[in-house]
Amino acid sequence: MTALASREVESSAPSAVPSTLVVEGLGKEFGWTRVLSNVSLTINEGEYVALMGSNGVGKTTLLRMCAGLSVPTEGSVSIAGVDLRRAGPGLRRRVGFVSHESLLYPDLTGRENLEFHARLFGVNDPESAIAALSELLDLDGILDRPAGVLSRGNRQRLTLARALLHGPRIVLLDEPFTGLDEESSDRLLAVLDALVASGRTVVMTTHDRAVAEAGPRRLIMLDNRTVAVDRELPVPTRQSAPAPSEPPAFTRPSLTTPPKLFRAAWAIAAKDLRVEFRTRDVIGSAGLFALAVLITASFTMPTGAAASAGAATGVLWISILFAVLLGVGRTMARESADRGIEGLLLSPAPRESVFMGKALASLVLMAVVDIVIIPLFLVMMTSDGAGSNPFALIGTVALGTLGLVIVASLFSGIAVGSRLGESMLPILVMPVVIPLMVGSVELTRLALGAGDSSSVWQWLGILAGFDLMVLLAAIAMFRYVIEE
Amino acid sequence: MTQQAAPETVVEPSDSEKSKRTTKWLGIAVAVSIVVFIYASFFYAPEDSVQGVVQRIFYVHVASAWIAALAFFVVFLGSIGYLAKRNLRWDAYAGASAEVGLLFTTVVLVTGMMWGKAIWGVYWTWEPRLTSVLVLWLLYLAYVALRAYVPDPSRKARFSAVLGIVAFLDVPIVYLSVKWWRTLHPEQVIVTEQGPQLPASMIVALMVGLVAMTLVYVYFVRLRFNVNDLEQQIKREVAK
Repeated sequence: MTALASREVESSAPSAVPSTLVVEGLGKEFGWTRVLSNVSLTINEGEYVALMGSNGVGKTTLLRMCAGLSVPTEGSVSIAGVDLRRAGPGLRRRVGFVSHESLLYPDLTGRENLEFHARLFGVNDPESAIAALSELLDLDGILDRPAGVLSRGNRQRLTLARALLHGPRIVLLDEPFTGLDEESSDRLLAVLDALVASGRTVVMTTHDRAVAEAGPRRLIMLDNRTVAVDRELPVPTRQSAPAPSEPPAFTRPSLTTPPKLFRAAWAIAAKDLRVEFRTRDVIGSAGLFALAVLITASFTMPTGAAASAGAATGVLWISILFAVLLGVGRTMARESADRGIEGLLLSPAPRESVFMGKALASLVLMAVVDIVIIPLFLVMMTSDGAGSNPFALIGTVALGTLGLVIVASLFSGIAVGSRLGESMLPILVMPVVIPLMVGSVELTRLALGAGDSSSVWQWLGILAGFDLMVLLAAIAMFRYVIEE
Repeated sequence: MTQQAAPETVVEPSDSEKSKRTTKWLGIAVAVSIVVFIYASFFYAPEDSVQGVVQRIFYVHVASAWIAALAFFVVFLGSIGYLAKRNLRWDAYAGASAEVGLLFTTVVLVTGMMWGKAIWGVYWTWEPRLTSVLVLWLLYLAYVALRAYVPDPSRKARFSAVLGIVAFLDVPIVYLSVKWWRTLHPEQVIVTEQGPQLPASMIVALMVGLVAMTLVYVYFVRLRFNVNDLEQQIKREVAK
């Protein structure tokens, strides 16, 4: 953990060092397709740049590499003299990125989305920062509505607010005018002007030459996988209808230390739990599935003492396993909708906290499922409890569920990135958890009074050892799952 | 975002006349070694006084198990190599080794079941050693399946590497399971505190088997790697 964290070299660049964006010999291949080749640029702090080119020429890819969301195949991107591959939290806070996707959580309100990102970025006074942005971007009326129900234009304003919330010194925007009406476009242009006037660097991709000439002072045109044109633009003569009201000057919010591992993990878990509280789709699907399995099996299983020694404990753990697969798969699929995971990657939160936060939220949700189905299992499928060991049973359920959640959380990121989507999750998880399942079934049997109870502690130790092993592996590996 | 990995490089076609000659000679060596191995295990090694002729399955069973472990260790190394260097060549070796390792694990399971039927009277029993080898087989089946369902080569390599590392953690569990659990599986007879518990001629047959299976492993991985190169060349041409 510490070793991993230490690889994230803090941007040694002090805040006084200009945030010059330097791209050197950059190239990118996707599979067998080369998208960019030998791109070199220097963009100084305070520049206002339009990045143009035909479809598929690599504008978005270049911008994503500048935001640190994509690894270059060759060459490098540095900000303030620090290579983005070694970027620490401080460097990440210098960049704000508006992508094609909103990176917002559709089930959270605009305010909740912004508060969550403010927490991850270490914004000192989120309420004031959100109020200032609300005034700048005219967010009144949309802050308290779920992001998922907002119109394209309103969502775009909220997306911009998310990107500006932490006062970045470089603002990267990918087609920010797409879907905006004329008034919203004028307002956005005015906001970008205000950003540049306050010394920020603005780089935006656009297809619209009129937009490119309305504000930017430099035009970079990509063609044939590299920079074809790089020239200054004349001072805009834009006399078009000004924004409805002149936006106030952009002010930088005060920042505190970004959250460390556990605080960031808790913020992510709390966000997931809030989403679940609103939608109840994980509890609904996972809990109902587990209940349905138990109720169906109760008609075919022997009851009483025979059950604890027989197949009933296997049925219990199969229902828990599939509940975890459904629940954790859903949680990660929700994170991938609108690329919420990229919002986490842009933040200064340690990568390990993403895994820990997601696993923690899933564990809480699965604990709720356990609390519902375990008593039901005991009532429907076991005897009067004579000879059973409730502490061993609780320990078994806790350790077994924990192990399942850890493995499923690690592989859920892989599953949603595969062609099969969430359906891939059982294929990946089940072979890994078979030893855990065998141990949990055996231990449940022992905890219910069947078999040699003296080996309970030995089995608990084996389950705990398995959990520890997969936890360490998952913490170390998850960053490779989520980083492009 | 933190991107500590080195830039990706692309696997370049490596097959050449020299490489083809090497592959050809390797194929001949494999054929010769298999013939020698058959002779050693069926004629040179003595018949076991207790188990009879069925014991001769031991040579291919144990040699395949060792090679499967080697193959999955190569997957593990290739996975670490890819994540550290982001060079698709590491992933190509890992992918090829996983497929061949899966084949050898299948041989282990099938020969084990044949032996089990003759000695225990059943093809399969859910005892820990058998179960954990089956788990191993399922793990690398999932690894191969995953590679089929992720079209983008870089993403495929990244995801496979994560699974390749986690799956390898199961290999020591398989190895130690004989000691961890009470098991019907025979105790180890080669690596013991008292030294090998087999007659010298049986050990010679086993060693010949190990050499033959190692050559088969290298040959298959090499062929799979060459096929991978050709696939990449074709896809590059199509992508142009």
